[in-house]
Amino acid sequence: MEKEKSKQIYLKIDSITEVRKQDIFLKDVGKVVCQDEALQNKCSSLKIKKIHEKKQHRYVEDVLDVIAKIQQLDPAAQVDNLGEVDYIIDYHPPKPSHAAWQWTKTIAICIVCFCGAAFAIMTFNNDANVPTLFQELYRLVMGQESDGFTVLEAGYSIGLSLGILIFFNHFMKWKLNTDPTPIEVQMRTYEDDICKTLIQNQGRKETEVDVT
Amino acid sequence: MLLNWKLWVMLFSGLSAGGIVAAGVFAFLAIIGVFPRLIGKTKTKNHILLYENLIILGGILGNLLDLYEFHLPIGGFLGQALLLTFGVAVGIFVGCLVMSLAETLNALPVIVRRIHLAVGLQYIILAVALGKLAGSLWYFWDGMGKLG
Repeated sequence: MEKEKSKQIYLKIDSITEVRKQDIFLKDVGKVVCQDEALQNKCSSLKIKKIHEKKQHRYVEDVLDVIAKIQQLDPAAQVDNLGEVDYIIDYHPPKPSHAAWQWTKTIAICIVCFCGAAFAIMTFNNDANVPTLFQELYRLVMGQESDGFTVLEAGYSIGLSLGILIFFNHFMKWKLNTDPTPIEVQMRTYEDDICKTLIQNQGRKETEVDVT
Repeated sequence: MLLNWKLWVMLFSGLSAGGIVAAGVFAFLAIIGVFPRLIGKTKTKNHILLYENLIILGGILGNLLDLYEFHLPIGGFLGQALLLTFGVAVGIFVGCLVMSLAETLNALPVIVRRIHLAVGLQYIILAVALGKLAGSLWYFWDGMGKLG
């Protein structure tokens, strides 16, 4: 007699999934593993949500609903959740937005990045009074008046450029090492914060503004 | 001239100063969360490397322009247009920066808790924005900047 296959199901759902279709199956948001292959396939193609409104929205979902649906499918199934408890389905309408509009946004952000960085370093130089400080330093060390175009300024400019390049870890295609760049890291942190906030907001449905 | 050791001392201290300042200023810019927010709002995550290139270029060129005071004789309508673009971009940037700072320091949550605010958080934020607009206009209008 063939040994009965275990109905132990291991479930792992990602914290956030971007979807473009309205019928969402379990395999879209996570992974299922089970010794019983038939059951595994059934679970993978289990429909966990149908989105009715055709507009962009982030839906906060609970893994307990998924487990309940799997148990409806097979009452003998043992589900072990290894992934997130609350997860987010980020629905985007199927229509891709216009390339021209995308590029307009990108160029606008590029201008803000460029001008913002230029402005930040200029305000720093101004705040810290770098030009005056350099003239003073030059006078102290060299014993003569600085004309404002000395090795100090040259060194500072080169050092600053090097510092920025090392900090950001890349320029164009050239890269120092395979670490993600600072903005990539910050972007990830920001997205994690957004997910956490969405899930926590879902959890408490008070009407008052509450900041504990 | 090249044998003057003092010159080398100056060059080296300039280099070091630049490196440290870059680390400080740009780490601050990266950590304060302005860029992730702008990128998130416009959903243009796939261009992060391009944005970083622009930040790098902006930092380097801005510093050169500030220290060496190059003349860019563009003038006329094109010059005005460039200055307007710069002004708007810097305005957006500083607007995001000051609110990011206030947010990082938990200024709003603290105030909200202190006065047990229940409704109308959005109006407080609107008031902050309008106050900044009014303050900025008044500042430039009356030439307050020249007083200091």
